[in-house]
Amino acid sequence: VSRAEERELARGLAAVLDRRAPAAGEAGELARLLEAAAGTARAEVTDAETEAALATARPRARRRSPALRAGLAAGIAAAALAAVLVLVVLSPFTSAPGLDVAAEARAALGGNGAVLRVVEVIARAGDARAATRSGWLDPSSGRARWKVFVGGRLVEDTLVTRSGVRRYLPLEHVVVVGATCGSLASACADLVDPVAFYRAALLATPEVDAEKVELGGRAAYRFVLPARRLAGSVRIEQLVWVDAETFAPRRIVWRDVRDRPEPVSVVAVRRLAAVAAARVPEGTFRLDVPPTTRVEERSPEPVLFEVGVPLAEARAIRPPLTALDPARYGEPSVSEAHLASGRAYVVRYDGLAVWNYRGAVPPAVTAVRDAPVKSIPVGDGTATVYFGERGVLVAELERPGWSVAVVSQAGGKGDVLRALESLRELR
Amino acid sequence: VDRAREEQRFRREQRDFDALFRAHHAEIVRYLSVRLGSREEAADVASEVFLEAYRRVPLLAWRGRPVLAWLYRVAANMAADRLKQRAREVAVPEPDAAAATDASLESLPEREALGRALRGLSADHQLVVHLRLVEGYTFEETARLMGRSVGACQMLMLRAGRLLREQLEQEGIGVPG
Repeated sequence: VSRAEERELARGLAAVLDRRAPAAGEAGELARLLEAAAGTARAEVTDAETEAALATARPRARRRSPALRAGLAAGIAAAALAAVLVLVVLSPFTSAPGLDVAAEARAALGGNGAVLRVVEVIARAGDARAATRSGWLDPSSGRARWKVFVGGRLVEDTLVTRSGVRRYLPLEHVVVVGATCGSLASACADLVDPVAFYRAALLATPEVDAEKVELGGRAAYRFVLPARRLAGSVRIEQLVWVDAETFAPRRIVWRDVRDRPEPVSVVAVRRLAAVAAARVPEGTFRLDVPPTTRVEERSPEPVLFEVGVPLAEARAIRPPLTALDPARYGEPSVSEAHLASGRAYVVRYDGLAVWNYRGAVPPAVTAVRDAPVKSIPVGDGTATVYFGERGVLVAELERPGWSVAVVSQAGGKGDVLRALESLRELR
Repeated sequence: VDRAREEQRFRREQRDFDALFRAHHAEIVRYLSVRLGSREEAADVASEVFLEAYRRVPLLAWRGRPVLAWLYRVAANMAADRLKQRAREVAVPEPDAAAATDASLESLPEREALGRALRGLSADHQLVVHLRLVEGYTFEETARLMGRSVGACQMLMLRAGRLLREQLEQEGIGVPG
């Protein structure tokens, strides 16, 4: 094919793409293919995301003064040296007889001062929509920052420091602030990052009994890390696959050591890098939000007393309460729970309760804060399901105007999932 | 008149960082998402692009090209740096069905293959597809943003299409009907 013919074909393709010519022949075929490929890249970036990014970028930009820039050169030199050291530490190891897999896996996580950049896909069996969690962990300072994306949309941006927790919910335009993880909706359990939990268990385990296996077409070592307490009383055993070359974790399955056979959580580690502290981007451990964002401060409190609310009055409460589908669950009873610094509403059905709260987190929810969890995509957000003691299940999620928790005292996971699917305004 | 209007816009975007950010943040994130294969990382790099813009854009001289052309160039360079940096980090393979869960993350193979093929294109091929087909700029606008002729952009598009077709054929996936 001559260059002239090529140019002619390129013009023909352009005409098809511009809708100036019919989609026929090779030009038509390529146009369909290009359009289809482009379709995979048309991700929605919402105004809320842009505003949140701008709110973060503006102060950072203004802070970057000439004096700082001068210091930056020295910082970059130090970072480059640190990067070389990190690369040396993280160089792929060769498997050999008598290999100490635990030691190699520890080395793959960098030294004590390293900050971990992690991207994890948290999924549940049978659900095509997985939550992607992308963040930074700084174990030495107790800081963590991560964002959760569902279907490519940012649904949570969380910052944890030793002085408290901040969680920005862009879809609700709310930032939730608490002094401890127990004061936040959906916070305590998912504040324990799977890679951080894995790291802690690995550091406490001198050696492991590793088996060489294949995972997704690549060689890996599989081993079990002994059960470890997750925040409170629940003990979690981790089944881990590490890459046979890099020894970085690729898959982590949490199993409750009580008599629950199914995995509590399955995490695919998509990306892991140990980064020298000097190379962590400025602002990573700061969470700025757009100026008009509503701020909610929360603290866990006991219920002082409850007052029944007639259904007609409950329906008039604004913002509207969240309840279950009456066609499936029947008419509920509604109570107003008085807490020390605020009120919450509980909508009760046979065996299920739906709590609606804002300022203070009811004890039915805080009681399961240290239980193992699973994140489940629901609508535009994620619900966190806590597996509490004696079969208690609590699923929490954010809804417009309220944090909502579905509490099941004795039902199975299926009951809670069905309840989540039927959440709606109380009418 | 168009040129005068463009220069006016150029000057306005030099002065008003917020307006520049709001006008172009989304498309830069989308572009970087394909370049880097990660929406989260794209958002990180996009914020670096705009930090650079905050410092440099006020110093740019008007040479007949919009600020957006500069933003794309910086984004492309930062993406290239990030890809090089990633190659030096611990290599963790992309998740696959087996690595994710036993029966989860079921995906649409054709859509995934298309996305993968698009990510496999060179930076120029990706950019021409992004500007013309994702963002909907005309070939003339695309050419100005890329600093090339219209004919060169059309040739890039043709080659991008053929490379995509080759890649999909290798995976045994036909062209969408």
